[in-house]
Amino acid sequence: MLEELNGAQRLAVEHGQGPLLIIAGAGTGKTRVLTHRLAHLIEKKMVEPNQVMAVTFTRKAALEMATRLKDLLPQPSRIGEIPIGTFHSLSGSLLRESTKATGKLELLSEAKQLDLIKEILRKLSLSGPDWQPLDVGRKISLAKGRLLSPDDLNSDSENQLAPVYRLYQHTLEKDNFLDFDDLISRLVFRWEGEPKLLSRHQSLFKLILVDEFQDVNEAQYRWLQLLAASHRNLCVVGDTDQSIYSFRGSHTAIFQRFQEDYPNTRMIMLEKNYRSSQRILEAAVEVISHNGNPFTCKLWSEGDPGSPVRLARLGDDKQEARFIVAEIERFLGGSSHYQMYQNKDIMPSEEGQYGFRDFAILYRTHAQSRLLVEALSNAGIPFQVIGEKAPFTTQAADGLLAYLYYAMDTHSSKNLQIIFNLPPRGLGEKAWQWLEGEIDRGVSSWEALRLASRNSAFPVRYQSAIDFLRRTIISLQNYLAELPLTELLARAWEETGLGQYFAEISSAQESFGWLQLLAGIHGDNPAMETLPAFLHDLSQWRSGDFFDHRADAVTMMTLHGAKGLEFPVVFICGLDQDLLPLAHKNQGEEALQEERRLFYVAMTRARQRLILSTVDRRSFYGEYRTCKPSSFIKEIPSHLLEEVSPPARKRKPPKETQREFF
Amino acid sequence: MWYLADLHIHSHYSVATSKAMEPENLHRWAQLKGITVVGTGDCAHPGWLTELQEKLQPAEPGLYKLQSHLAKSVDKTVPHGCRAEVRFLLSAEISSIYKKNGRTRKIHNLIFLPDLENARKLQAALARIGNIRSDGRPILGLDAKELLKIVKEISDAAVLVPAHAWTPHFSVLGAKSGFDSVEECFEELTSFIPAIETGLSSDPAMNWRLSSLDGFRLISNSDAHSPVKLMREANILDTDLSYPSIVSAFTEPDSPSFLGTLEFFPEEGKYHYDGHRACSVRMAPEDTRRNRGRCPECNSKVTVGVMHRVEELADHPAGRRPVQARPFNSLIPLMEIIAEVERIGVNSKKVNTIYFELLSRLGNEYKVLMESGIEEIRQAGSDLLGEAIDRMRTGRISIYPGYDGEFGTIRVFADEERERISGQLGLF
Repeated sequence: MLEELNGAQRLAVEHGQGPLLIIAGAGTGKTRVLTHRLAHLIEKKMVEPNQVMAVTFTRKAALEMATRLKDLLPQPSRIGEIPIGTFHSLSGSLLRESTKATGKLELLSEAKQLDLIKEILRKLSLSGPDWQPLDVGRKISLAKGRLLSPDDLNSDSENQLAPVYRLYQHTLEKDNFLDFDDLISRLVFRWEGEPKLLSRHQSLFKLILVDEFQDVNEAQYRWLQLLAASHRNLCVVGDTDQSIYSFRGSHTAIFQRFQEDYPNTRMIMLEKNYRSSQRILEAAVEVISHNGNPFTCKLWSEGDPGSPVRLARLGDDKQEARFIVAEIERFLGGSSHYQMYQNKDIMPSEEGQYGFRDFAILYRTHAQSRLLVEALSNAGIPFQVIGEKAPFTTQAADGLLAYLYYAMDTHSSKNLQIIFNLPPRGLGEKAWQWLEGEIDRGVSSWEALRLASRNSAFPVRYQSAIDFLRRTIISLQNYLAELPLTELLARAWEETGLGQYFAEISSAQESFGWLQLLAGIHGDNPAMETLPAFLHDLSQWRSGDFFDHRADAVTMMTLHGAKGLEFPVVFICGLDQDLLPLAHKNQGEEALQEERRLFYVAMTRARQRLILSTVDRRSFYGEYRTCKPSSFIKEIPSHLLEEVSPPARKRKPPKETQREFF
Repeated sequence: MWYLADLHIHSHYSVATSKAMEPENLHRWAQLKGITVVGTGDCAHPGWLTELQEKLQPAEPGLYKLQSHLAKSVDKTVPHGCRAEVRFLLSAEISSIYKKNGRTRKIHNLIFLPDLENARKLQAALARIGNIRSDGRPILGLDAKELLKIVKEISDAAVLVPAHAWTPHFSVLGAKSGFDSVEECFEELTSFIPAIETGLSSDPAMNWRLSSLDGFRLISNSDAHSPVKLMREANILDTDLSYPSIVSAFTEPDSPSFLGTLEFFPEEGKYHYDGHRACSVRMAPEDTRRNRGRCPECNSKVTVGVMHRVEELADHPAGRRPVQARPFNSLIPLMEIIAEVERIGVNSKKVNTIYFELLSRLGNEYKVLMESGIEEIRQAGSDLLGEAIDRMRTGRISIYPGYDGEFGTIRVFADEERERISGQLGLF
């Protein structure tokens, strides 16, 4: 089992008692080391399977570890005994186990949490851009991650949060609810107050192994410290250079702190990389060395020296998108006869190596994806934007569907609320509240609408707007009985005014096109018969995967999203100063270092090819801005770079201008 | 009923196609050429399908025709002797680019569908896989075998046929990014593949050299990107006008309904020989082998053409004829013959004038090329034209083979011959 490991990996696997810090650079076989270490300890009977705890950051990572570990165990069937999970799941089960006597604890869903925050903000009359419920939730979460109570908040901005946090926490505790962060912090507080409970929990585990240690927050650190206090058999693995979530409350100084807290720590660095070509590694290491991090891995490999990193300096972001498409075509050796005939620059030698799924296009901000999507679409190259919703989930499509739902079932006040003032017809909150009041009194929403249209207390314009809405619904009801689905959609789009209202918004128009396309398969019977099946399909696709995973596609995602993944060919676009590194509100060395880590993580995703691009001008919300190349480009030694000039564009010869005399 | 079917074409929604590829022109040119059933092509494209829905009406089972009010005005522009019924059959071509067994595969497949509703189902399925709006022939990152599954899930009556099976870059047996056998591509589902399309650069005789292809019907279509290219190749059928009858002519090995095909001279196809277009180097397969696959000008790899590829995979020498083989006729498009006879460009106005003159006197292009008496042609056209068509029918022509994307060029007459035949003319 140990033969397949390199020297450093083997040291890490065979380490016995005492704290162990493994710094595992990108692509150095971290998961392999962790699984081999666990398997080794179990095989040597140093621990029983149920005495080692393995903490990961995501469920996916936990699953992967379990899958890989299973095959290494002397008795694979005992895999189920090993507590492998996320901080939250492991802490949650300890907490639940210790709370059985004291009563129920219910985990607050994210949706309920958001509702609660909204309610509290309303009670405290807080609104405006500083009080976005999602933001407030995130801030409370950060405070909990630092183990801060409402009273602990001291800086000005935090002080403002205190009353909200206090009321929030009070409500939770009153109703025996926990939020996600409480899963950790509550247990920490209980351990601190109940030594018996702590020592019982401590005795359960002889060794704790933690992955992605660089992303651990204060609460999690404290949690580990307490749980491992008796034996100090902590094995933590991470890479501070891959810490890209400082805004989530993790910090890069954590390795130093670990060494200080555990002075006899053994540190092992995994630096032999099994993923990227030598040139890519060299470039990445040069870049990250500018952070001056003492824990930086000097990645190296025995693999292919590889091609130089390609760098394209282009005129604007449209050219950048075209360049990337042309590069993909080139690597594919052409995707159509026409395109091959047009472009003699295809690389026959590369042909046979790559498929669409081998390419990833990475960008700093989602806004950059728009032109790329356009260029890939025009070229007919299949792609998938990670994190993208099904293409028919837009306000326009939701509105259209709400009209149809309501026409089918005029009792559904939820749908009436969506369409009540969509497109805007001057019906404000007041009109809706009146209507809601009627509905609360037991009047059907359709009847309430009728009453509203005759309510003399309303201004005339309200009455006529409501009248229009009612007439629209009635004609939709007629269409439902007569027209096939696709035609119903077309009429509804037009007659509700949605088509016109969203005429300028391409995503809205596109989502309507999707609805039409998907409706087409439901046949020509009257919509009344086919609509339920259609709506069912949509709801299935909305929640699940709309895109068919049998197909290959080019992956598009943000730099953050790429962490933990790898691709044969990686494009990092938008290497402009102020975009990467992104111009933060809080400038400064720390922010710059985080951006550099982000770039480093992106670079080390590439196996064979890394292609960078920067532009002179980039459009921001319809307006062009001049850009400078990213300062990170200069950090790559020039002998590792291959500058690519933009594809020659056919230009008309300049016209002879001649003065005309009259 | 005897008729011609050309089922692989592209609409104006495909990249690099003529704007004239719309239902009215297809209806017109099918008559001029002598095609009875023409594929719609591109029915996976939402815009094209909408246009078809608006302009076609149902005819026989699974077939459509141009709406009568549209047909009426189009027919006025067709010479009386050419006028005939035209039917449309829903068809599409899909480009699959994917990796299998460690190599990138790029394969084009034809799909035939029994009606508009199934075409809509195909669209809805493919829309979730890739972009079906940017090109009438969509590119999907989908394994061809998965595509076959999807097609068969949509309808049992749907048929998938590998397109132009030999072209180097985009076909099931292509040298660059295909497989060494149809089975390697479709595995256990190969039995659902009834036929392969031979493509312009190969003819049935070349395919007969592979016993592994004996189980497939060899069909032929024009892959036209503009109306004048219709019937470069076509299928000759003798059955009723209906989708099920046409499909069973393809799928049933012993079907008496499939009479054979009209073929391009394979040498004229763009990928018949090997070569390197950038250096204008044309190479016979043996030259390529001698040169170790390199271009003698620039030393880069040459594009290996269809002839070479067939020789590579063949298990029989030229001249084999399997029992189930159907006959074929090789032909040269009439406009090209006229251009060669007149020694002018094929797109010139004079070619066009002579072409329509011939059609109005002799009937559709198929009749002129295959059926009219040589004497009739001499009289309607010229002695040279009559001689040229006679030579085409008997295969007495020479062609500089196409290579690496360049079409081959035809020579019907050597210069001195031309003078001799014209000279005879001068004696009268």
